[in-house]
Amino acid sequence: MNPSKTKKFMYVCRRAPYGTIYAFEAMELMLMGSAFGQDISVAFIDDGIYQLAKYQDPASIGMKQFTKGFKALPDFDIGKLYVEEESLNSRGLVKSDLIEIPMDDLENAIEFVPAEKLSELIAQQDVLLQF
Amino acid sequence: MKFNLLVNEGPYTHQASDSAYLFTQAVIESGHEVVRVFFYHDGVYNSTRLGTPPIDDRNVMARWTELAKEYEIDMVVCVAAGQRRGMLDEEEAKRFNLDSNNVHQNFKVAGLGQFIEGSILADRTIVFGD
Repeated sequence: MNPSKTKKFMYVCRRAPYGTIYAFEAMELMLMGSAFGQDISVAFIDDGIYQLAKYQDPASIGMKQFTKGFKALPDFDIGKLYVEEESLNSRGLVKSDLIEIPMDDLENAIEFVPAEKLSELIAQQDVLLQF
Repeated sequence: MKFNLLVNEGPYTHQASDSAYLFTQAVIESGHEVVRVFFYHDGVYNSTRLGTPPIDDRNVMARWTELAKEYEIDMVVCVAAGQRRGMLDEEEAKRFNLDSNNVHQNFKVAGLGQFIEGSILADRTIVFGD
């Protein structure tokens, strides 16, 4: 493998955290894949924004709250995190309903972006993986 | 052009595996290259060697193993997703002290890194699933 060939990877999380396994296994892929030193970003859109919901208690459905793991993304050198504003608004949520992911001096690494800006970012990617 | 494929759904329930198979065939017939086919989520079920569909239907699993053999395609089943769903090769079954295994020998059982590596090596990564 040519180490100078860094690619832009974007994970697009668009499903609710529970109900299907896609969100959980996508996170496993994000964390494992971070070891390859690529340029990684993560976007939360549609029901995927519920993955960042502050108040979750999936114990009653026999699940663990895997979404706590998102707080560790900066430790895996995954610091470009986006939430689509339209998805937030259309679900009646506000920024403070979501967890904050601190990184270095930043209180919150999550950037809230309009769909138009997000589609520009998506167009720049080499590898786009949606779950 | 070099392609890296991700199959995220199991056989029969979903068309993803059929589409990925037909795509792989088309890639090879057009003179392009398939770097790897990686099976994730329920896609790991495509690797079973025990499927016995009715004779008048396509055998989704056998089609993959035959294609892989004919063109020496690197087919990898995610080890974590496989363990979770009971898809184990001989080595994994031994490791967990289980009495049986079900992953066909034309598939390799390996980590998620294989998929990321494939994406780096390939010109295009194509995902099959919803």
